Amino acid sequence: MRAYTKDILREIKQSLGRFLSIMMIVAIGTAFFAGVKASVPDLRKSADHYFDTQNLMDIRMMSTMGFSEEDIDAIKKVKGIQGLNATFSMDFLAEKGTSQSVVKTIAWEDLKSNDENNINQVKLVSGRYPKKANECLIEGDKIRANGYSIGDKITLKSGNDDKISDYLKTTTYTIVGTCFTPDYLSFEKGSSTIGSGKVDTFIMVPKENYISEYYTEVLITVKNAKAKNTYDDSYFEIIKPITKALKNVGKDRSVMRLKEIKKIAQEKWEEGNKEYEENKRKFETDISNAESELNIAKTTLESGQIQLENAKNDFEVQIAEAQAQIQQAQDIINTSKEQLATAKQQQQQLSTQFTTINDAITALEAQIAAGTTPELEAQLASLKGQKGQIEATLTVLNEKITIGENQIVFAQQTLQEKQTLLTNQKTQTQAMFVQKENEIVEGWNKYHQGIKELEENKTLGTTELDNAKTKLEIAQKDIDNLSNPTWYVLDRNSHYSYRDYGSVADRMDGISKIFPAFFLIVAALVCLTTMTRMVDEQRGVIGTYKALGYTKGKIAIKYLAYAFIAGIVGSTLGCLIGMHLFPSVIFTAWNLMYTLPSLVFEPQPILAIVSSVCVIGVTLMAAGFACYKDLKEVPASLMRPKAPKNGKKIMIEKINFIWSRFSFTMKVTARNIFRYKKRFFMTIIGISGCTALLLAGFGIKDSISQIVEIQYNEISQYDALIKLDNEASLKDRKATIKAIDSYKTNQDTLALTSLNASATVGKDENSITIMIPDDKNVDAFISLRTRRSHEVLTLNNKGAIISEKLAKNLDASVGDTIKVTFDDNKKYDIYVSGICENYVGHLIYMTPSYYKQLTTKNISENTVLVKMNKASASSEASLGNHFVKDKNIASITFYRGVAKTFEDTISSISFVTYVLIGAAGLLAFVVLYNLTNVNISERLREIATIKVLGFYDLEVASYVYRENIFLTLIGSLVGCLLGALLHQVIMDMAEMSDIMFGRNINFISYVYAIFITMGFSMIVNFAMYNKLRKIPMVESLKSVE
Amino acid sequence: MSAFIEFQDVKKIYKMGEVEIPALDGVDFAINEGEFVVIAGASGAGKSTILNILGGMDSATSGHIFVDGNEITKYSTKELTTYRRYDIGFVFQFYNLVQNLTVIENVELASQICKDPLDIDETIKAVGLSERSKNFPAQLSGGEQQRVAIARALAKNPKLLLCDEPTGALDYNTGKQILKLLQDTCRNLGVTVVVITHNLALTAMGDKIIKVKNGKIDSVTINETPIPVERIEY
Repeated sequence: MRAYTKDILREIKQSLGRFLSIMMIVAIGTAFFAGVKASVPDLRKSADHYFDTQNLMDIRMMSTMGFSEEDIDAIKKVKGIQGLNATFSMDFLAEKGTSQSVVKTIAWEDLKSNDENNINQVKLVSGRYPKKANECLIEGDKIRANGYSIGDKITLKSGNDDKISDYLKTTTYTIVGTCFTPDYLSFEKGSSTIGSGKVDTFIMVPKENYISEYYTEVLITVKNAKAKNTYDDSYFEIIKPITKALKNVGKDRSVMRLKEIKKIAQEKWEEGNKEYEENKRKFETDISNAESELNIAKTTLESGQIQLENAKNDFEVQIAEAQAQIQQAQDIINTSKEQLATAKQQQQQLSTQFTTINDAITALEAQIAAGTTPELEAQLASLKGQKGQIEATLTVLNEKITIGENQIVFAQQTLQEKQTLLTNQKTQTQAMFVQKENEIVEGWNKYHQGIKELEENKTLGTTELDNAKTKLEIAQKDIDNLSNPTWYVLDRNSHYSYRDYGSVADRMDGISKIFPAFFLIVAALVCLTTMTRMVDEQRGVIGTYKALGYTKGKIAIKYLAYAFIAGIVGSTLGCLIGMHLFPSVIFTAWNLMYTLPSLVFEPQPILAIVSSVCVIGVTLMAAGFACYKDLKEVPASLMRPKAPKNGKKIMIEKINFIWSRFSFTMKVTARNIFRYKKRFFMTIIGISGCTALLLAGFGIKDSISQIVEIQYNEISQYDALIKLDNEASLKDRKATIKAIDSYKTNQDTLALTSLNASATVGKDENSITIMIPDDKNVDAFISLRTRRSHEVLTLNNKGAIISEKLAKNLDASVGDTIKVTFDDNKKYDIYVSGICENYVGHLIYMTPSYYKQLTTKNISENTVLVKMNKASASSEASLGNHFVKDKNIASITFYRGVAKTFEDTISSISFVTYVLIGAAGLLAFVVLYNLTNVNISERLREIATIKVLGFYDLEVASYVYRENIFLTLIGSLVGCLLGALLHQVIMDMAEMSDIMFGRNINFISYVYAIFITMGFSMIVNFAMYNKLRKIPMVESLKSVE
Repeated sequence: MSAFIEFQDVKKIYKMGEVEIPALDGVDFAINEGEFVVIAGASGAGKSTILNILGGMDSATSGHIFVDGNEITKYSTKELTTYRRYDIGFVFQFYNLVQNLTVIENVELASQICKDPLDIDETIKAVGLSERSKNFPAQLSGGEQQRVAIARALAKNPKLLLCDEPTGALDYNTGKQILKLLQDTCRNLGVTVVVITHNLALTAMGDKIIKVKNGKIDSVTINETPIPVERIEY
């Protein structure tokens, strides 16, 4: 047996090329088999490991009303909870340059990493953790650069009417580090009610910044859950009871919470109401006070006026009196003057009389002196008497005059004084009157103004009070309408990143089901061909062994051992390399989009053994089959050279029409090709496999990249979808719809009703959007057509049009009835009147009247599809900013961005293409190398002969290679068919439940696949050219072995 | 007139590791155009080496060989191929027909690469295989196969026909027929024919007999009266 072992080892040494080629194909087969399969658990394990390390929550709880401390206490009582973190996360807006992003602001606490309540621990990428309240961590920019760097400041602002200061103490944070969170493995962070409606990034801010008295979410880890792989069913078996318990707590607490909230709200309302009443009272008092004040002012003014009037009158009387007195005095003066004048006249008269008398006396005296006569004497005496009388009278009169004159002067003086006094008095009083009058006018003005002001205040106050009252009424209504707070107890099945990464693994799982089979078949064929050739070459040896008395089994063991050693070495190598290389490549490729830190290998000895056993088994079978025939022969015939396979006419020769047109060399090639069936099939299958892999690889890209184009440009022709608030009144919604329609950026809009529904597919629920357009114009927004023929589908009142993927999931075809649960939780039977092309999501389209037939309800439009004049970042921002504040709008989704994101996501799938190309290349090399090798070694004499005949090297090469090229060509053509099939299968398997991939392969991909295959063939041919050249012509002189 | 073929001190030394094995140790001879030459010698004497070198399948280590005025020892690999292609017809001991080609196709295989081939059908007729031209080699007897090989060599219209033990794998009578065919070809077409054999009985039919021994020319005999093949007994 030692000699036998030696024989085997020598055999290997001598035919190293052959041994290596068997080993290689085994290694490749195993590597693919084990590697691709192993990557699935490895991916899951890596995610699980990351989740465990970062203490990702098992359950996230959210509530419509937040959580109070009492709620938390109640939650803590649930058995089986390991860690609990009641925390906050809120969405705000941050502006950087002209772009605005929605930032999820997550509370961060400085907890130890081994603290079981430190859930969803972030992984610091760079910088440091926050130390102060105004410091924050931002998302690491592996996935998408957000434009911020460490040291920058980020300012948050509210995305709605609420003031940000109601929620956060600090609104501007200094970025001190970047991090990843296990909560978000990819850039997809879910939706938001503010801004663009999508969370762009997250920041971690110290928890103390939150003002809210209620926690927004509660993160929970479950005891013993970490020990399980989170993607295993057993994990959920641990989680399920806890979820259930938490839900029950939620039900109990929500009733209490409602009461609490109602009570608090009612108290607040009462307070408000009291304030209102007070305000009202105060207002009324104020108004009446003001009114009475005004009245008083009015009365005062009026009385003042009267007084003034009286004073004026009195004054006039006084003046008149004074004047009368003055007049009187004047009269007296005048009288005195007259009397004086009279007296003066008398004096004059008297003086004249005196003079006369005097003259008479003088005359008499002169007469007397000349003749005195008594008579004369008497006369003189009388005259003298008269003269004395007159003189006395005159004296009295003169006295009188003097007195009178003095009296007049005095009187006149007094009068003068009196008059001056009067004039002064008059001026003064009159000035006083003017002042008083002015005062009164002013008073009136003031009064009127006061009245005006009062009126104004009255209106204003009343309006304010009315408003306050309305508000109070609404508040009361709201309080009355408060429904139970709903608790959402979400396990990881509702966790986007968990699901998302899980689906990656699932997709790989799908792919891993096809590949190994393929490589197994090729490995078997390569093995069979190579071993057959080997056994053929060793006929003599076999014969000798047989003649020496070795049993069939023992002889066979040599070849089986040869194959087995190749198999063992190859499969070990394949397992070692494949189970590291493939998971690494696949993990790294997927990780372009995910933030898992490192690949964690799941030891999979069973997989390694199973795949090795499979591949080795196939190799052994091939080896056994190869030597079985020869072993049956008797030694004598084995010792004789095996008659070369006879030339035979081939089928095609019978078709003279074609055959006669073949060139001579073509005929040779054609015969050779059909002469060796095994080789033919090995090459055809191998090469077709190569082409198929290439085509599938390119096809995957085609089909997936196409769906973006088709979905968002051909099927959904709208640029934005605006959801209206279902709570808003119909009237408000109508107004908003109108406003949207007339907004400047919009070209055309379509209002329709959309509602959420679901259908059960196996264990899963497929969520469906039902679209009910009430417009003939729907074609302009949504293209309802069949996928293959693009036949236009029209909605009718007999049934609904459903999307293709939904139909596929439900196994429904046109004419069937499907059961769908609508948003009212009732199941309806929907008649399928058409199946339309759609790639993303599940959709059902129906007419309003069909909807009414089903539900007896009328539609209420709540969705607006918008076609914009030009969809661009700026026009979207304009539309978004304009309407984001509208209370009737719930969300705005822009499809330009969605299409872009989606394209990014799936473009990373192109790595699959590279893996496939690599695999295809390996396959092609191994198969073609084998084919050429076997061909050359078998036809050594023939080749040497034609060399002797004078064929140039290139002619010799083409003589041999024409066959290769031809087989490669046939192989790649077959491969195109196979590839299309493989592509279909891969797409079926890789497809997610709510996304339908295309099934199309672009023409150019066929060209690529064929050309690359031919290219591989050329490379092998080129590599073998030297070997061909070195064949010695002397070989032709040797006898047939 | 110089000879058609001339060997001048041709040596061929095979190196087997450190050991040098001289296959030809200074060979000199000349062959005239249209001669029927028989090179005879024991196994390993070096006759096959002469043929290989003369046929352009192998190159001499030293010395000069002239064929039709050209020194083939100076030829490059490509020139040697061209030489084989146009000037040489080769008949192998084991026929070396391409199994997957019919008689006519085997002949075509050679003729298609020549400048001035003979008519294929006539060549096949000349070797007496018209009836079997559509048959595959496996359907023919050994003699018939060798005829095909000769037809293949002749169809190229070569200047020189080299035959390596053409009867070695054939029975006596068939061998004779083949030899006759070669002799007739030489006589009728004027092709220079060189036949290698270890059978000394065949030397009688040659115009010139070159005997090789231990890598050297033992003797060159000119046979003025070659005997027709039919009369040779061996």
